[in-house]
Amino acid sequence: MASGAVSGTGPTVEAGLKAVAKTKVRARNVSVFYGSKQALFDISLDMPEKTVTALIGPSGCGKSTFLRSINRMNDTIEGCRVEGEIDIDGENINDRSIDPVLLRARVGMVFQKPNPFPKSIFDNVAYGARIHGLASTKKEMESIVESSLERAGLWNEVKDRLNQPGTGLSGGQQQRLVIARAIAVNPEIILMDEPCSALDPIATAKIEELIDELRLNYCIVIVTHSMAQAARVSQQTAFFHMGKLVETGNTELIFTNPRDTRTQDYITGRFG
Amino acid sequence: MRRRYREELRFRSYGVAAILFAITSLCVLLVSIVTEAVSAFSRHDLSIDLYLDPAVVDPSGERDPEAIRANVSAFSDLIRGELRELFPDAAEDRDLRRQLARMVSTLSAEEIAARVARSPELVGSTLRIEAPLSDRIDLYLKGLVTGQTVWEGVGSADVLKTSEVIEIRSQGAFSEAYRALADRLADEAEGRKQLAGASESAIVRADERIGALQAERTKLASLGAESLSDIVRQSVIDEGEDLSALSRIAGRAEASGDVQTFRAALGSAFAKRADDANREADELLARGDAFQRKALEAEARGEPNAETRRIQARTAYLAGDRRKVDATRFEELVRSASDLDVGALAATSSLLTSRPLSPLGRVVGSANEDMLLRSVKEVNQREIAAAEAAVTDQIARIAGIEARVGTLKPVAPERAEALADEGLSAARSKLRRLERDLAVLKSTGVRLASPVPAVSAGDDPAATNPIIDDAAVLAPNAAVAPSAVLFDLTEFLQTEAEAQLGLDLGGAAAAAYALGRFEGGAVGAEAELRALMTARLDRELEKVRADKLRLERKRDRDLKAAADLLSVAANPSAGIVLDDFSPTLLVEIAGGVVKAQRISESQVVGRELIPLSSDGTFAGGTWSIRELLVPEADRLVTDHQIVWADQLMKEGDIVRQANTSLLTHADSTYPELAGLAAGLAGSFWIMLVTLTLSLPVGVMAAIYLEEFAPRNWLTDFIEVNINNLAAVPSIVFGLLGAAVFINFFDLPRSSPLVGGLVLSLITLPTIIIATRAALGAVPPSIREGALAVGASLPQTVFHHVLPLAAPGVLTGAIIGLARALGETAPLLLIGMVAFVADPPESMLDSATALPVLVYKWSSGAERAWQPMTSAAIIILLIFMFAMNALAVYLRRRLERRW
Repeated sequence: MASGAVSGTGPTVEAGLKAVAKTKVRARNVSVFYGSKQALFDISLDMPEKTVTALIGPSGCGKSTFLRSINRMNDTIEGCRVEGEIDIDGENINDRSIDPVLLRARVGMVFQKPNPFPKSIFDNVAYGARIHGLASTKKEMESIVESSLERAGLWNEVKDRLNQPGTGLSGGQQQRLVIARAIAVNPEIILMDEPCSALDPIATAKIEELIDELRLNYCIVIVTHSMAQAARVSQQTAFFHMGKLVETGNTELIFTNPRDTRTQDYITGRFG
Repeated sequence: MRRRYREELRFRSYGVAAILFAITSLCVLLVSIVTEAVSAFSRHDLSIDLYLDPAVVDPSGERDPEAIRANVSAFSDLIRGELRELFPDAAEDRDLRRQLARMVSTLSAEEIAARVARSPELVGSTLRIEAPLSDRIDLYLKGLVTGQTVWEGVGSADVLKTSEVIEIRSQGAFSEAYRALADRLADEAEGRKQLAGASESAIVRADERIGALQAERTKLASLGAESLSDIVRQSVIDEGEDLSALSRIAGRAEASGDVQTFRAALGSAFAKRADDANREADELLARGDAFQRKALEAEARGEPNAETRRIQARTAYLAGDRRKVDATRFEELVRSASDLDVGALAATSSLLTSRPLSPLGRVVGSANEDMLLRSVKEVNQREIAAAEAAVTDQIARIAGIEARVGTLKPVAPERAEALADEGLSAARSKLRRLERDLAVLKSTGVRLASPVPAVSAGDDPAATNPIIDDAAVLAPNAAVAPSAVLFDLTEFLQTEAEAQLGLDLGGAAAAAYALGRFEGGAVGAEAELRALMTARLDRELEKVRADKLRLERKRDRDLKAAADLLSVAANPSAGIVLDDFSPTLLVEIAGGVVKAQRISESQVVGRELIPLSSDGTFAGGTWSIRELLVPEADRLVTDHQIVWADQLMKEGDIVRQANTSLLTHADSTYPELAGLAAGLAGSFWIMLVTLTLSLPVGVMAAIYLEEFAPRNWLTDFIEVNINNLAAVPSIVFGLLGAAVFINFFDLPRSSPLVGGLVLSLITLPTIIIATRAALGAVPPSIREGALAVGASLPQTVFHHVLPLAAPGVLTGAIIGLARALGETAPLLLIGMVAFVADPPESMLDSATALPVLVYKWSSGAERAWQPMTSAAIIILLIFMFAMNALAVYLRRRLERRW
């Protein structure tokens, strides 16, 4: 039924998006099970390059689960099983030949609560680059850190205190530090799991600004509870409900002219 | 609202009370240890100038350090000589010389010898030495040997010195000391009186017993032959209390042909067995009921053990049924005992001690039967072995009788014939019975263990009591030479009677009686019997009279002592005589010390311990009286030693200083020289081994279990077992260590290596549990963050999780080590309690550990070990607190990184 909804709206939206960018992540019939409980049912969704895809839906609808299956973070959860196919650049990430560790280097992730390592700001950003051997000299490392922080819009705020602990920053700064940490390893895709839910409006605005900038280089998938935020930052929106993908399409279309009554109810705040 | 406040207040007061209680007990503990230990941290040394006479110290004149070091006794002699010079009057008496010599520690010269050996040029010079005093003197100087009371001398005192005795007169000056002594004497008299009272009541009881015994004896003398035999018969029946005695009597009667006694004895034995069996059966059935009830309850509650209960119930029912069957059989036997002839009775008598083979009662065929039988198989094996032994014995006995028949043949062919007929046939029929039992046992293997194993001693009366055998053999012979036989028998019976008391003597009397009846001429046996029974009473009488005499003497002694004490106390003018068992009273006057031998209110007579400089009159305040509360006989320090020590102390020849040997010396058999050095070194090595083994292994195991291991039944099993391991008593690990490391791997006994290995086993679970808890407490967001930037699982763990868990890990490790440091029991089992004279220098040397030393010292007999033990405990505690403080410090420090 869900897929029917997708295919019903699919062609026009996809055609519209294709003009902008080619598909980066392609999910086909993805089902996720926690033990015997099925959390996601047959999700099929395309996430294009240089585009922000927002996943919206009420709590417990499976947005985060879907997000976490894109970089195989679900592997770390006991008893979690993913069926179906998720391709990145046409490569099945659940294939045996794919190393989840390398995959996660390509697919960065930012969590709901800022989780900087209890280390210095510099080490926080440099850690990923260091374990992946991206810099051979100290100078290179410094430039990676600087550029990452700059791209995360944090450089000017922290350049004088790179050796202070990352946990000493404010919430919004921490979240941007985490984003800098994620982009320091040159990912292709950035997954964001409600990145602003723990932040105040000003910090949120900064992060949204940042997401808008990052869109130029990355494929971004963001889970959000804030309808307004989805409308502000994303180009494509997917509405999840009860583990099923109800509707997907151009953000403007979804918010102005939803096909499904459930989508309409949700975005108008009637439930969720 | 108000109720809520009240509730809060109540809980708060509970908490405060609990904390106060804990703190108070801790304080009491610490204070008691510290107060006891304080005296061990200082030591009294003899500090004198010693001239190192070359002729004594280095007789060879070569100044060879080794020779000097070995010549410890020479240095001891020098020190003793020096002491003798200080107290010249002691030098003349051998006993006093020995007392003087024992003031310094036996091995005190060792250190001086070593010091001189290091710089031989000291020989010939005068050296200031400090030699430890013996532990007893040290304890006295610390006030731990005896309490003292001192009275200043009031008024002037006149000293009269005759050849041996000193007399000191002073009007009323001694009254206080005298009063104190007299009061104590009165108390002692009271105690002696109470003792006498206790003796008196015991004497009254003895008198009653004597009267009863004498009455019995008179009655015995006046009884006619018939009533005498009635008494014996009655006693035979009465003794039915004891099954083995009954079967023995039956055996005797059987052998002698006394049908009546035999029947009576056998009958009452059967009745007793029937009783026993009925009672046991009832108990078993009641138990079965109880199990059945429990089974039903368990079933109702759905507990899994219902089936077990039901099996228990069935087992009990089964056993009860079996006993019921036994009881029925025995009851039948009782009924038939009066009708059967002797031969048939004899055939059944074997049933007395063995269980009748009978069907298995109403639960025959129950599935339990198999189970039950399996469990008794082992018992059955033992029974077969016993039966085989009985058969062999019986064969040997038959051979014995045959030999006797052979020797009798030339003297009395007819009698030998008769003996062979009766004795042998009886013995052989018994053999057949035994063989049949054995065959049954072997063929069926179902005979249960005899429910009354105590009877087995009476199984074969002849086996335990040779009288029967001889009576059976000799009795037919009696017609030839009755008096000779009777004489033999009497002698035999008497020696037997000497050997056994009471019941056995009665049994012998019964046998003699039976024998007499069999002979027909009851007169001789009658006399024997009377004599035997009288002898038994006489023996008892004699014993009670002796007891009474002893008690009377003791009572008289106590009464006299009490009277003496009271008369002394009541007569101030005569004075009290002081001996070794009285408190010591010293008068310090005229630069000397007099020990009082007699004291009255105005006069003291005594002898000099330290000579007085002069006699004459001394003004009040220039002299004093001192009472040592513990009598000389009750302490290990003599009066002489006490006054010498006081004198030395006064003149500054004894110094009190820090007891450094507590830390620098190894263990010693002399408390004043013992130290903890070996224990400290041993504990250090053990901790080293434990740390290097248990920390990495424990941390790695915890990391694997917490971070990498899949969750399945195997890891669950391991987890449960680690938790169980932490709860295993440490002594079990000691046993394990002794078995595995010492016996199997052949590592050196009592070495720190083995100790460390065992303690690592004890510490491991603690470290694993603490590490897992610390790892589990690291927030998952850190793990996710690391994984999300592409760190592998090991990288995540070692770069992020472990550093964050480090404070917890270290705390756990240190607390585990602290526990290991205080662990004693397992170390005892691997031989670390051995006496170790030198600190270990490697992990393989014999060593001991701090807590083991505490244990050893605490069992030391001498008083001086007590403070030493407390001191050792304090040092152990200091190390433990230091380790715990380190744990707290590390935790604080590392946690700041958050």
